[in-house]
Amino acid sequence: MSGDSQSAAQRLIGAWRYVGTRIHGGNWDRGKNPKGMIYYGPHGEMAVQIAPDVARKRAGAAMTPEEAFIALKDYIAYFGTYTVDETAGTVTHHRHDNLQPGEGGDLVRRYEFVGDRLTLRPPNSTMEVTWERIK
Amino acid sequence: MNGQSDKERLIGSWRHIGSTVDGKPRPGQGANPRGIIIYDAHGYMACHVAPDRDVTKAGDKPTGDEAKAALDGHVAYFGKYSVDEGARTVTHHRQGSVQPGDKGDLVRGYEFVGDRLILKPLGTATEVMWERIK
Repeated sequence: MSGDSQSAAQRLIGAWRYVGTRIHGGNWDRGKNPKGMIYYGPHGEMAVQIAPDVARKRAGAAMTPEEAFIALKDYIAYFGTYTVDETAGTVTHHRHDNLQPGEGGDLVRRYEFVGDRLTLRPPNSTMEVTWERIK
Repeated sequence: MNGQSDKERLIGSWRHIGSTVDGKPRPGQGANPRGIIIYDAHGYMACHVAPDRDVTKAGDKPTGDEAKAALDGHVAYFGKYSVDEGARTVTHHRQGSVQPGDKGDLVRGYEFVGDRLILKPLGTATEVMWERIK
C-alpha cells in the first residue's frame, strides 16, 4: 500500500482508533484512557465516537439528570456523510445526527497523514485529534 | 453472495431502517429515528441510533435535564465484535457506551434478507432493521 499513489479520499477510508487530542500544546483531558473510533466508508458515509474515561453509573432503573449529565459530558458521537477537498487538504463531516443536544451542521477538518496516523485539525484552532489506522 | 461467510456479509456500514417490538414500532424513538451500524474488516464495530426528536440546550452546556432528554432512547456505543456462524449470532463487545450503567457484551441474532440485515436481541421480541449503505 504505497501512500503516494492513493488519493487522500482513498487513504481516509476505513476505521481509525482514537489516540488523543491536543489543544494549546497540551493534552485535552478526557481521563486516563479515553477510547474512540472514526470511520470513513467507501460510499461517503462517516461516523465518530469518542468516550471520555469516566464511570457512567446508573443507580436505579432510570438514569437521573445528574447521571445523564456525567455520561454525556464530552462524549462525542455523530454520524452522517463526508466530502474531501484535496486541494484545501480538508475533510468535511456533514452531520446528520449528533448525540450532543443543540449541535448540528458541518465540521471542516484539515487532515494530515503520518505513517499509520491521521491528524484532524479544526481550522483556526490549536486543536488536533490523532487517530491510528485499525488493521 | 453464496460464497461469502456471514462475517464477510456483515462487513460494511448499514443504515437504520427501524426497530420493532412484537412487530410494532419501538417506543421512545419517534417516527423516524436515524442511525448507522458499522462492522469493519478487522473486528471493530460502532453503532449509533438517534431518536427522532428535537434535542436542545439553552446555555453553553447541557443541563442535567437536557442531558437526560438527549440520552433517552439514544444508542451510541462501539468496540469489537465476533460472529458465531453456528448460532447465527453476532456479539458486540462494547468498549464505550454513552448510556449510564451500560456495560458488557450484547448478543444479537442476525438474519440477512436481500440488502437488509435484521438484528434480534436474544430472548426478546425486538427486531432492529438495517439496510446496506452502497
